Amino acid sequence: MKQITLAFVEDHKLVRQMWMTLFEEMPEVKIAGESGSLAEAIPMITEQQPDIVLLDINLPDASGLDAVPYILESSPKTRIVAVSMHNQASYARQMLELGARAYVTKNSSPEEIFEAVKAVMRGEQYICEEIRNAN
Amino acid sequence: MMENGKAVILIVDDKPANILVLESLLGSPDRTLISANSGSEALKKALEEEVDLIILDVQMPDIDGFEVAQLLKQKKRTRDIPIIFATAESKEHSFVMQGYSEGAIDYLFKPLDPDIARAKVAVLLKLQMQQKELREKNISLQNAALLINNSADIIGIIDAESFMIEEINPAFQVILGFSPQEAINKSLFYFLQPEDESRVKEMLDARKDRLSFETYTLCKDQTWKWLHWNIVVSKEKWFVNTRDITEQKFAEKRKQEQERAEQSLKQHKLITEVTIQAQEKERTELGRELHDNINQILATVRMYLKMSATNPSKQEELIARSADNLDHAIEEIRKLSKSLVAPSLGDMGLLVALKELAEEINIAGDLKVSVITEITESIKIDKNMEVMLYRIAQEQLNNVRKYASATHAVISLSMDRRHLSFSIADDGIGFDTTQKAKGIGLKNISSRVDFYSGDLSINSEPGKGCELEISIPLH
Repeated sequence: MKQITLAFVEDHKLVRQMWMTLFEEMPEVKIAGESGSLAEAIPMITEQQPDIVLLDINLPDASGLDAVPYILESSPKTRIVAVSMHNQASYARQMLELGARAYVTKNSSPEEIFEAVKAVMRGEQYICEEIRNAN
Repeated sequence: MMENGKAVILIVDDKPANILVLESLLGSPDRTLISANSGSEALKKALEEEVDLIILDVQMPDIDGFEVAQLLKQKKRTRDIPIIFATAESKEHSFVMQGYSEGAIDYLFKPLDPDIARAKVAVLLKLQMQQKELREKNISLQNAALLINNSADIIGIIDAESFMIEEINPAFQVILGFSPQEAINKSLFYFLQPEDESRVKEMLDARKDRLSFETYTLCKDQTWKWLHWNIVVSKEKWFVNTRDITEQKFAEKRKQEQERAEQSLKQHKLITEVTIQAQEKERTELGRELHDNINQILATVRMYLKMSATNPSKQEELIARSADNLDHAIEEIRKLSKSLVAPSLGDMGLLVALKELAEEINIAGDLKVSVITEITESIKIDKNMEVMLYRIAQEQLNNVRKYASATHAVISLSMDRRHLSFSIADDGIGFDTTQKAKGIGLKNISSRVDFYSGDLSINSEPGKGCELEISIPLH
């Protein structure tokens, strides 16, 4: 089976490390790249054309809302999974409206993250439990 | 006298021929001759016209000349007109004429001697004209005296050589309490303060013909008044006009005080506003720090622990990472609370605290900060001021790190008895102080300095670094 290629854009070093550790546990996922800002991310995504980008919606040089169109333009087939500390439903709604396929908070469990990745690969949308339950 | 300046002579005689003779005798371009044929007509004309001299025939059928003269003397308007009686010489008449000893009275005997007639008219007319002029001058003098004596301003004459007051009006007493008698023959400077005397004498050296100055002057009742003096110097005399401007001065002072109060209220409002802004900014930053940094670190810990529960083979490694990240979180919280809680400078003093701050920044490595001071012992200033200065150093070094791209910064601190001077200079990119509006950071510093009535200046140019200088008065 072909591996899912995944890149993540995340400015917090410790969080990046965590994503790395997490996805090493998922044999079907191959890490295509990682970046700390949108400016770094665009050339990497353009080159890698990953299946999935895990996008932190608070980057130092762009908000998630600004970043989505840039990423989709650089790599139209990429499915964006937005990740954030924010658990307000409105963030999630806006991100999905802009073209992200999933929204998960950083408090979500490893299983949920995996679930989100699998769901978008199946062509579904995914919103994490924390937000679903809050509404 | 008529408005055209001619003297008016009234000739009274019941015989027209006599009038003609006198007219031809006395006619001249500077005289207007009018005539009357009877005593009653003479009275009428004397009242109607401005007559300067009357030549009066004694023997007339209706009212004789003496009676006319008597009636004229009773009226104020005609009382002072000189009269020349024309009469045939007789003892009886000379006796009657002695009754008019006062005032200008003369006589001509008929038949008239032309030279004597001309001479007598000329003399009496001249006398009359002079008296008239004198009366007019007297009236204008009386008017002036009225003005001077009722003036609310002091008006007086002072000898320019000795400064003796020669004349002074009653306003001197109204304003200063000293009567004109007390003032006259005393030097003006007797009533002024010594510093006023030297000031006025200095002005005299400039040899001006006008002096204008203000004095704060002690009155007889030991109260003080503000006086404004206007002096015209002419013919070795000072013509003085002095106004009491005490009320005006106090009104000015009250207005100034009011303006100052309004200004300080405005200032306080501004300080409050900036303080609130700064607090809000601090809260926002605090919120962001908690949410974006510490909370995220804790989220990674949570994730690692969950992973370790389902992945026994990597449990040890995941727990070790959790512990590492918890250490990070603890460190971040420690930094955050240190920036929030006022540092206890009480124990270490400002100087040590500043050195420690510099040390902390130097460890990070991107900016080298040094502290320069000649102060060796611990300085004794207000604890709140110490904290304020420490805060300013923190804020400014933060600005330098964020915006200035500087490699070095120098904090210097010096103190004399009156001032504490504090500056932070960097070798960064600088900015145009005229162009760049004060950012919240600088506003924040400025409001802190204002609170201690200090002065803040920022010297910077593009490419030439920036120096922030603060001077705070002690006590």
